Amino acid sequence: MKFQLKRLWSQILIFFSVNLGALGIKTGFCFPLFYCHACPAASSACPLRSMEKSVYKGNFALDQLLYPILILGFFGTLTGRAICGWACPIGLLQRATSGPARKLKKYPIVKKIGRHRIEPYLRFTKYFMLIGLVIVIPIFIGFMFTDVCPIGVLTGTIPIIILDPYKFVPSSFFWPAIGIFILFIVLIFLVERGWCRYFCPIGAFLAPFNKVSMIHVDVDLEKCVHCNACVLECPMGIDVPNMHRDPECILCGKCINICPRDAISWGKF
Amino acid sequence: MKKLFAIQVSLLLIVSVTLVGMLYYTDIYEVTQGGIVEVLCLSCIKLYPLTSTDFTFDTGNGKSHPDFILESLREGPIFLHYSEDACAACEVMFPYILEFLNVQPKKDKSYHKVTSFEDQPVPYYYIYLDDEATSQEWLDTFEIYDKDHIHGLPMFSVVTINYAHSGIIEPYYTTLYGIFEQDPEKRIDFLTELMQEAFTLYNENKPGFIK
Repeated sequence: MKFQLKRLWSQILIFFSVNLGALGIKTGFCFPLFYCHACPAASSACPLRSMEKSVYKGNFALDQLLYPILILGFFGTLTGRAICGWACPIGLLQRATSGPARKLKKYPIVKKIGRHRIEPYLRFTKYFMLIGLVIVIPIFIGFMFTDVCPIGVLTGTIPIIILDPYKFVPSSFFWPAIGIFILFIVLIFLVERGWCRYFCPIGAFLAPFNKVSMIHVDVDLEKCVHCNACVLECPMGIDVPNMHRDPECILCGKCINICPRDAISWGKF
Repeated sequence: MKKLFAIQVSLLLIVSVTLVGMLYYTDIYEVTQGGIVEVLCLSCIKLYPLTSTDFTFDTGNGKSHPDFILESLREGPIFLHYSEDACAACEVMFPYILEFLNVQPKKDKSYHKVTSFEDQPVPYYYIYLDDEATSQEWLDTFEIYDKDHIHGLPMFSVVTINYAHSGIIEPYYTTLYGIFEQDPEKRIDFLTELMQEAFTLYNENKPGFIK
């Protein structure tokens, strides 16, 4: 339990550090997590915006494309998707909204839906979001993911409206983005880590790094009695005993804490 | 196991060295800071600033008007047009401004021309923030004429002259942001009225403009 408390502290501290812009600290780095630079308090840039800007309408700026890739690549190589579990403010939000989803998980119908054979394929949506909406569509059409990004609404639009209620009017993207934002809120209450599982483009970028990251989760199958406690506890809905460096694992360590046989442990290198 | 460790170390070295090299040898840090973090992305917030046509003498950052603006004011009211990469609203406004002022800048290159509005001269400046060739003097005007401290794009400023409290005739400007009208026809009407007001002030005060 203490371990999960440490993770909570890590998420809270990082939440404050990404908002150091409130103190006037505006850096030229990209976040290795999901947070909008349009937030009045943001201290760095959204990596997705940097990528979109670099390829927008075929106007390739290689340095602007490479820069967020390298920052994400650095953290990905070290920790894989631990960024999602330990650092991302949207992960922290989903941690806070996971209660109803965890209760829902106990209903047989929800269990059935969760085990449906199509569910693993839905997880590929986030890769399409990354490649399609962040790279391909900005090149050919000029429409960008950040135009309708729900995280932009949450961390940019809403705080700006609260701080300056009479200074702005809705743009043409406002109502579609609000619609997507409402769906996002519904999703994170109904499905634990629903955004991370199915839609997060940053998660999609970091996911393959789990295969080579220096920190990962190991399962000792000789000790495992297949009690499934870890599967029920996993916020990402992973079949933990059968995973090996699963791209979906956010290294939250809940499975390690819950395992009655100590069959699950941190693996290094 | 050893093979994976070698991959991990190699990958980390390649990424780290390239990242440090980029930060050291290129201006990517400044580009990201100035182009993304410090500029309010209107697309990202899905909002446009509420436009008011109120003219003012007070510059956005308190700095004085640059020399090239004072020089151009001798010819007529100035139209400043700011844009950047990956700006949806900039794309929307670009053709309207071209048509309105009969100018033909390239979308990604800063540009200057003395054009005309109702047969009167208008110095037009197209300032593309992501064009490396844009002079610092031009780029500085983005903060000088950011009347409402929005720091967002697209931004349009009209600089004319008026009789100030100091007793001399000073540059007098207003700034518009975003697309300011959904209806394209109203957008042109809005700009037309603004330019007519700028010319009225200019023509009234031109004889006493001593700068």
